Amino acid sequence: MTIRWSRKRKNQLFGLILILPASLLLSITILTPLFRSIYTSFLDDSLLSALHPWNHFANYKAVLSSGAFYHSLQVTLTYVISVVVIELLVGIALALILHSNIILRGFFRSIILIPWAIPTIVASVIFLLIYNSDYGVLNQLLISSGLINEKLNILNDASLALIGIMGIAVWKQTPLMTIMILAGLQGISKSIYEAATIDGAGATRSFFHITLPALKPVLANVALLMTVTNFQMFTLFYSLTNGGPVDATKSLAILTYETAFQKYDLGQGATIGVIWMFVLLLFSIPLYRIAHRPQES
Amino acid sequence: MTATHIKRVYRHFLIYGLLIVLLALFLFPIYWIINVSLQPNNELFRFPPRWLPSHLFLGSYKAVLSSADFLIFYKNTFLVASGSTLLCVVVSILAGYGFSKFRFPAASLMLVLFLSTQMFPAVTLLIGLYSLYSSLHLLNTYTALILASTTTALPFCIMLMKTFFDHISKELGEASEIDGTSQLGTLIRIILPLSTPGITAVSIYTFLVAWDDFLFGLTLVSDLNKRTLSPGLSLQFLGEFSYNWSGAAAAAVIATLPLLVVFLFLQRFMVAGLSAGGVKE
Repeated sequence: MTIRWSRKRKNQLFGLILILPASLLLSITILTPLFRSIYTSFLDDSLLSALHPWNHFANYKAVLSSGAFYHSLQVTLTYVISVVVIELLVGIALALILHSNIILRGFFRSIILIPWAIPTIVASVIFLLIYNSDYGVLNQLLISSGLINEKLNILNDASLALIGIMGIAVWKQTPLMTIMILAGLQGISKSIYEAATIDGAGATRSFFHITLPALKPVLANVALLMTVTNFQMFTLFYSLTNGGPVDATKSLAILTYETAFQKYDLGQGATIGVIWMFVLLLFSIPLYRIAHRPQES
Repeated sequence: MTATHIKRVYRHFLIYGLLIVLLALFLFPIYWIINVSLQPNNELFRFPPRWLPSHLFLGSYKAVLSSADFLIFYKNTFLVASGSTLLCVVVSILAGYGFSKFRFPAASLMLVLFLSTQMFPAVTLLIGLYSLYSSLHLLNTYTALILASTTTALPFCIMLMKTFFDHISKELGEASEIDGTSQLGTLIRIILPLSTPGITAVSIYTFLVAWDDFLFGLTLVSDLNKRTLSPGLSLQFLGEFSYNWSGAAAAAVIATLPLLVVFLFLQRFMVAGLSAGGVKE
């Protein structure tokens, strides 16, 4: 007896087959290493121990009672929150300008995206040149405009290094955010603004009462993307300061990398990585919920 | 002039002023690296720096392009980025279509699970990935780098393709199936030709992600013959950076060129695709 499958069942099966390659790929390269990392975080897996025995949460106790971890957490949070907030403000301003009736609008929309296409390591090279304390152009600009008297050594100054890195992140990431916010602006119906103008609302009121609420899901989505990107930022920190000077830029990414791959304490490195991941999830979930909340129209 | 007139002039002044300032900030660094790459080192170590080369100096470009190591890094990056792009496009078309057209149990849960993989920090994964690849003998292979970049880009690409397919009329596919075309045939012959903008966006995105990879190239590959551009630039040129600015700048410009070419030709698709994937979820 042959089993005749209903059309619905057949469709479901075809759908499952279609997502099979993606599921396989993601389980091999993300889920398996993720579980291995979590598993490693419970082991004594360092150069000194050949056996990797279970060590009764010793890694977690060590990490959570070390000042280094909290310092890195603070560096990471300062960096992420500042960068995301600045990017949102600049992104909204730039998107509003590119949305208004300006000349060469299409041209400006294209060229503003260029920094996004620049590889991160190239951004590092560019800003090493610009920030350089002896011959850098930033020092010339600041001195000739009278803002400073002595040359700054941005990346070697513990109070400036993190700000220097933030500047590069903002430069590289804001263009993409701008274009995404712009797409959100284009999705807002013009008739709402016309109605508001008839009711006597000025530009400022329209912005706060129409534009911002309508943009909320887009802004949350963009903020989520940038929070995840920057929580993970490794390239800029590693290539520009590698955590220095005096740990001023030692983010969680650098601390994890250093512990696992330079001190070869995989167990403790994995532990920092796992805690870091939970902090990131804690930040992402509220943003995700705002971004994906069903729209009330 | 009336009051509204003055207000409008003031508004224009504000908009264009802000636009010029922001554009200058975003474009100046690109101008600057080109400026530096076209000057010999002995003209760079001076303060204040020159805003334009005194003469056109191409020596650094010649040196970089005749460096055997740099050309190897370049070729490797190109292979890895192309391989990742191909793999990611095929897999995300299949999965995007699966999620868009078929309702099966737990589909939305799986989609959320796929997307949430983006949130696991790469350095955390790397600890597990390193030992996994080491036991599979995948360290120092293109495969390792292609897999790593593909999975970095994949969740976003699936979302993008799904959104794209959501917008293609469902009746179109159903009509074709009634005509007796198989489901796979429908996807390949009817749906795909209509999806070029989505496929282009996914390709560019993956290519950029793979070209930009630094962490995986740095850790999963130690063999100089398999090294890619970002770690190559960092280990080679940033190391000698203190005395060869012009060379580092020229190498950086050449490393960016393919991306700029891709970008300038295809950014129209990219903007449309990114907005679709990023906004209408």
